[in-house]
Amino acid sequence: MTLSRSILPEFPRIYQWVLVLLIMIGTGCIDEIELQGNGAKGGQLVIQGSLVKGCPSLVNVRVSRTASFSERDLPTPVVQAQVFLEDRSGNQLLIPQQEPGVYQMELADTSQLLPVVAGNEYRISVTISENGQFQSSWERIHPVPQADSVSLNIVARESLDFNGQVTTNQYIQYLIHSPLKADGATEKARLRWTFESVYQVLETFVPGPGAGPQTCYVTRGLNLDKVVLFNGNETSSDRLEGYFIVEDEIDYQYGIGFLLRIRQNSLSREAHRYWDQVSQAISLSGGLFEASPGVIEGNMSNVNEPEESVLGYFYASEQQDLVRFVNPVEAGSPAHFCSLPAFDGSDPCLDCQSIIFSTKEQPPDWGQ
Amino acid sequence: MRFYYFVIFILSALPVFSQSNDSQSADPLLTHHDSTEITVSGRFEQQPVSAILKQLLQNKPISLFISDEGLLDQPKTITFSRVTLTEALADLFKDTSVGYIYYRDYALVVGPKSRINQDYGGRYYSRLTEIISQVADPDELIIGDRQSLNPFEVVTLSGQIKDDLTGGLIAGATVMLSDSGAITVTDDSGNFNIKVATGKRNLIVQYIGYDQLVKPIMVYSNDTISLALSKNVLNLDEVTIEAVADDANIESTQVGMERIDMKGINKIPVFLGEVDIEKVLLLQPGVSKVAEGSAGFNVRGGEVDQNLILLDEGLLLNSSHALGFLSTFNPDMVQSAELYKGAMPAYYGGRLSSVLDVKTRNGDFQNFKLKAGLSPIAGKLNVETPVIRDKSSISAGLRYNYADLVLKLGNTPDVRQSSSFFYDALIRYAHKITQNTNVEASFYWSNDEFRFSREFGFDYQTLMAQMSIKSQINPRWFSNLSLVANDYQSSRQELDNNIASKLDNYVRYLKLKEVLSYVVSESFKIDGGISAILYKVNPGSIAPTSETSVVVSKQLENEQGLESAIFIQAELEASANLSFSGGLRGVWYQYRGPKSVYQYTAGLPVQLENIEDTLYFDKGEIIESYYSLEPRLSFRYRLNPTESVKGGYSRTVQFINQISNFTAPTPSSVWQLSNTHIEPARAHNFSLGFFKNYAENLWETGIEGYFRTMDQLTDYKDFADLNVNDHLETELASGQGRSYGLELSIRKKRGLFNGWLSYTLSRTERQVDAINSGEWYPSNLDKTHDVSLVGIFDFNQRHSISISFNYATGRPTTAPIGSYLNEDGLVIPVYSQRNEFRTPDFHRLDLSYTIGQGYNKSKKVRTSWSFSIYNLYGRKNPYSVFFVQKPFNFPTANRFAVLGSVFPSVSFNIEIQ
Repeated sequence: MTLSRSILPEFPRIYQWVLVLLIMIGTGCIDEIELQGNGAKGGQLVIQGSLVKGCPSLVNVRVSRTASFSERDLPTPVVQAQVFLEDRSGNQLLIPQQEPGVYQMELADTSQLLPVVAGNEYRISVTISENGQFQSSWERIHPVPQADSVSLNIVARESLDFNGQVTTNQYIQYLIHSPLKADGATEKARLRWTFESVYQVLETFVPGPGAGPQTCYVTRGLNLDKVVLFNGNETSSDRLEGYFIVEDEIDYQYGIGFLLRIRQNSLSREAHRYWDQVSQAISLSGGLFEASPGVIEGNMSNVNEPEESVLGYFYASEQQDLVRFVNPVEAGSPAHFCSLPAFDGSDPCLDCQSIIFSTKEQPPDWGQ
Repeated sequence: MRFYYFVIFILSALPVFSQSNDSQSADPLLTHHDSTEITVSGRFEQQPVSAILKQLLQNKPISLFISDEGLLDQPKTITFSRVTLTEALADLFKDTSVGYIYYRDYALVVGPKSRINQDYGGRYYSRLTEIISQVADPDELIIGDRQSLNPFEVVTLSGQIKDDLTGGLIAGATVMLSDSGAITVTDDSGNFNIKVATGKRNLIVQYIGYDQLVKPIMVYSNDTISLALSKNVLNLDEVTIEAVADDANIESTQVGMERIDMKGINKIPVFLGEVDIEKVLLLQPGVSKVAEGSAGFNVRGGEVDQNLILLDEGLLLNSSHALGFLSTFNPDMVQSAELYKGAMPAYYGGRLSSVLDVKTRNGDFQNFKLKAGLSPIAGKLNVETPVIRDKSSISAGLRYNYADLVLKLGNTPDVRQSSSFFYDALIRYAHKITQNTNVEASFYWSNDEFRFSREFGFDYQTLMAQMSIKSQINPRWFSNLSLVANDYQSSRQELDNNIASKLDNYVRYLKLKEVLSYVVSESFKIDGGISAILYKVNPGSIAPTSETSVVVSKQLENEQGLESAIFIQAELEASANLSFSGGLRGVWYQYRGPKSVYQYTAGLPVQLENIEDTLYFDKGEIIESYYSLEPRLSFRYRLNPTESVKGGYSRTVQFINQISNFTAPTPSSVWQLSNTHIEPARAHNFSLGFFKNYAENLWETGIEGYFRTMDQLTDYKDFADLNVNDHLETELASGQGRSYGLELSIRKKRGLFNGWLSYTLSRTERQVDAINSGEWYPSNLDKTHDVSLVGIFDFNQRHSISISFNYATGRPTTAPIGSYLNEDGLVIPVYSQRNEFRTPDFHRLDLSYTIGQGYNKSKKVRTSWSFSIYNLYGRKNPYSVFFVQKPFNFPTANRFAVLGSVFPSVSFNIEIQ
């Protein structure tokens, strides 16, 4: 493979240049439109699966049908499918449905039914009564290199605010330090990172009877519209030193405490190609200076009708979970959200549990 | 009756003719004598028979006509002592194949015995009598020599047109014959050549700012003359001069050709005040571009890289500034621009779909001239001056875009830290070595640079030097030898530290071309020649530009290719109504070492996994060869003086392609030579049209259909990786294409209100096995309807208002038709079949008001203004349509209009002479 597009950004950033022109001349504009065509299509079968070796290991299979683009509906889950995880030794495990269309099971390292071992190959088999049997290709678990640390870099950028005034915003960049080869591995790893953050919220103190201000921990996804990949085979170095993986704007979330969870996964060559295609597909904007979008090449097929197009991919991977706690000082001591005067009505500063995905339980990895 | 055209007449009695100066009645051609009574004497030693004859008949009242000088080359020693002419001829031609005949006592015709009585029939002598009986008027200009008169010959009249006061040579003056309709234009040196039949004629010379010259002429034989025009101080009723015949659309044989009117180009509404050849091209039928602001142009469904763009003899690999908002041609330096849309002559080759032939003009050989202009985006300066008066001149043109200066005044750091500029420069030197030999040399430099903040940048530039020697070997033979060296480079920089890198590529070539033209007769001309282009291509190299960059250095091997061609093209006026222009081009292309070439397992797909070996080829070693024979043919059949039918066919082959899977390629897209795994693309082009003029050629109309098929077209697999890829062939898919359509045009050429309307109905499709299940699908360039309307209202000689309107069906695009979520909440789009959707239709109205140069042509300083409103009603035409997608949200289609509002501009030009 040649230089990965995960390293070099896509040329469509040329739009930024055009946007510069727009700023200068003030004549450009962007509108939402409807396109002329044969209409949106939904209902195509999608089978996505993953087997992640960790503590514990987790197999996760989602069976659904695509949502129509124009109708803006949701993908339809496919229920009552029979989902099996298999290994080369002939072991087979039925994966139960945990919620509509989601088939999930945790596997202990010591599981005798189907041991999850780096270097072994796995696949899934999905039987849907009205569609037949679908099977993935075999996927090998590649050992993941163990990252040493994640460092921070604060950058300031100026931009125009809604009033057209120049404003300066602070951003925090997370840089990873990691070998590219897992212990004992001969080949450098192909890596994918995903992120999740947790920030702390302290309710505003209100004098009077009661339990006093509570502390909440709010979890949110980060960088959900991007796929972050790196192919170790495309660099001559054996290590990533301070390699930029994600950036976040510093705001009130960094005011008391902030924790970034980083999941570093190793991928097979085929899985890396799949995620690379996904990365391109989601970054494509249909612009002039872009390639035409294409069909993402998956590894699921209909056992009885191999020509049938099935979307999705099953991949197996080993995962390292990294945590980077950011104290307010590191982030430049931004203002705390709830230091502001309270709002009327439902006020998250008076009831932090009203914030979606918040909990009063401190995460076990908080402060690490 | 070709024999007639080679007859040369020599009048023998030179002293007798000298007497004709005193009295026309003494003209021996009009006085009858008994030729048999003429006595001759003389002794001749080893002299050619023709010379002996001339001397014998010197001072004799008889004319001598020799059909073939070669007959009488043989030297002879002979003595005559007061013998009759008949006796002398008998001795002279004894034991030879030469015969003779007397005509009416005053002419002796000598020629081959076998033909002397057959070929010189009554018509011949009748015509001879007619011409010699035409007495030259005192004010008539005598062309040639009556002694060389051939009654049926079409002679070549050469000459030079000058200013009567300054003596300056006038380029672009129209020279025509009132009766025959023959017409030509003086070249950069004021020279012209025109074919004219012997006898009385009226020669008319016209040029803007000068009085029309009507000169009666008496034509006998080839000659060179010099004429002077008088300048009009005030041209209240200026004559409109066309560089081509008024009915050229009916008369010319070439089908599918558009000629840009460089004089009228200033009146077309322009973008940001910049006059642009490409913008005018886009208003012609069959010419379009993917979107406003995209690079290059498309002709009859051909890709941008399928246009052969010639600047004189040098081929340009990029003709766009600022990604395509402007072309790289400085209109002030351009003499002519012609676009061949399909049936191209055989001396053009190497591209599938079209030829844009732009000729630059020489500087003034007589006077210094300076022209400068300012528009909202660029300044320009053109200077021309004689180096040696009437002998050599130099001209230089520079355009500079100053957006960079404006960016520095931006209100955001990103803008202030960005930079952008382009410039182009052309220096041209022309030297007349002799009356018939000119040497021209030029150097062209075009450069574009962009930087966006500290994130990315790209630049591209063309450096081109060329020289040509144009000579008229004799009245029938012409030669044009040219040599071109070109270096086109582009690069792209990533400025972010982690991925800081520079990606470079270039195309260099050397081109040698020789064209020999032979004018057999007024109705038959042959061009033939050879050309060779030696390419050296760097298909990509990348290197990190910071210590922390994770980018790995990589340099693809350079590639070499040699494209050699031999061609012949003939133009034949077969009859008064039927003419042909046909030719044949033979091309031998070699892909040459040094180079490593992957070998893929036979019978398996060309994929990385199927590489079984790598072969290494030494320098100069031929890795792969391709041959092509490319017939070219155009014909014209004139139904009557105002109607004609034309058709054409051409086979074209292309050996170098731009590699880009973008909807519109950028100037930074790399070029790839045909090689072992990437075969040259080939096309068949067919055209057929009907043309009709009305009101004495005031109105031109035309309808032309075309059909093009293309084989071995390069397309790209989904998610193809084209960056610095040494196995590029694994990312490509070969397919075929077809485009067909109908082009209609109506043009009013003169008058208070003039302009044109063009409409193209077309379809452009591709078929690639790996795309859309192998079904035909519309290409990115497919636009069903394309309408252009240009209206110019010249309400007086100086002031004009013009509008242009363009409408086109939206271009095909691929859109998301569905989506699904992954476990992390990532919305993954599912796209339609390739190009299943269309962007909104394009339409735009532009308006322009031009205050041209003043009436007084003799003023030293002349100014002009142009006020334009681009996109008069603020149509938000899509520069692109893109899809925005946010986490847990579904994509939406958005239209990005770069010029989505009214866009006024003003430009100012000043000319000093």
